[in-house]
Amino acid sequence: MAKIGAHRGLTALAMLRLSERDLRSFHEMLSEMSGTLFLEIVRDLEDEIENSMSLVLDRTREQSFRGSDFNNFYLELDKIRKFEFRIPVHEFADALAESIAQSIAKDMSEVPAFDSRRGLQAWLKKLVRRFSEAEVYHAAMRIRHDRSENKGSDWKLR
Amino acid sequence: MVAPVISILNMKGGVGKTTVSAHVMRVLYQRTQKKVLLIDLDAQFNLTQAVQTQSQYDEIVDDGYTVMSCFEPLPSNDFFQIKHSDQPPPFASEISTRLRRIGSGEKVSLDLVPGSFELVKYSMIDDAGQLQHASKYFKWFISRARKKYDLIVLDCNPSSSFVTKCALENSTHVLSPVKLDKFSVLGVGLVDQLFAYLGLSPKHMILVNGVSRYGPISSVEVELRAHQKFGPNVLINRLVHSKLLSADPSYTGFATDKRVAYSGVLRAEIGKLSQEISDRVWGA
Repeated sequence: MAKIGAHRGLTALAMLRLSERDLRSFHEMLSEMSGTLFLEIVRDLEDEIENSMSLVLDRTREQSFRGSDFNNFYLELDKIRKFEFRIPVHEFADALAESIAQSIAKDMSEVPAFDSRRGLQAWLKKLVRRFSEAEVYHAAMRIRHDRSENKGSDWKLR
Repeated sequence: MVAPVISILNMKGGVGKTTVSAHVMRVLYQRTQKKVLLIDLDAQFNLTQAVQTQSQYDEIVDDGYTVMSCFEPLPSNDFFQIKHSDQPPPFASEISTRLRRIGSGEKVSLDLVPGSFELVKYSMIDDAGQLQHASKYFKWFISRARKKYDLIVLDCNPSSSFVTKCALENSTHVLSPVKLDKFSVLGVGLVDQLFAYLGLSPKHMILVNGVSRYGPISSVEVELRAHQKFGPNVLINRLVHSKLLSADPSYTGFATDKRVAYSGVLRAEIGKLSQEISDRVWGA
């Protein structure tokens, strides 16, 4: 088993196509190094490679499959509109604008006007420039809560 | 710029504080490429047990490198006395265990100050003068650590103890995980009440934990997210229920590092959550 491992190590080294000079200096470095130190160096390098690789892979995966964060945010709100509120876009925009004006903004003038020609996504983009996504989401949840027939918890969070 | 300090706290137990401190912060450190220090402030030290094996912990205790060094100079042989000194506390780098690093670890690393059951001593001592020494020493320790790290995370015990008070007094942010049951949600309100009693106003974030990935949003969650005061503090991203996140008796380490099915999915989901947390802490 150990022989196979050592052979694979040498093969990996061979694949690097190092010059004879580099190979000799590598050999010299190894001969002066204790087994423990050699192991520590290799394990540290393994961690470093793993960290960098998973970082790249995570980012690639998110970019390819999930789209941008804002796009997810828009899709989530539009899903609530379609499947739970079951109302047209302009009605949803009016309700959301009113909810924001009541809970976050001081008055309606702070809320960007909805332009039906440009659509919901463009309007939400404008909204999150003025308010945070969390605030807009909170406003949507207020509408959802107001429409719910559930009387809510007996013990209220104060 | 000194590092922000996040306390992970809910006055209700079993809501996922340790899960957030370990597994979410592991991904946050990696994605943001920052130097993050975790401090296990819970006497049950589950955070430490999640990421360190028992034999590793035994060595740590033998060396005296536990969270107790953040409260008083060690060794302290008297359970009912707190030692004090004018000498500065150790640097975090001297007593922490390196869990992960990128490169040399100088700029990007995830370090842990391991917990200790000995923390219970601060609940046994009622001499305000003595506790004051421990409080000052901890503050000094944190202020030194804030200059060396990008982020400090304090995993707190779900009680209004002396140690929790020390954590909150040194925190810029508090992150409260909640499970969607009535007691856990009410626990968030108690955390806020505790801020008021202590005269503190850290930025409060609330994380919905343990929900089903595809299930509909529950009425409890809607009520929480619609709440006038707490609603805007609730993070949009949620931590979904995953077997990988529950404590596995035969596995010690980070859930997202397990090379099994769905660990990549979990890593990507926690990635989005950790991005939202870092946007709130450092700005988008």
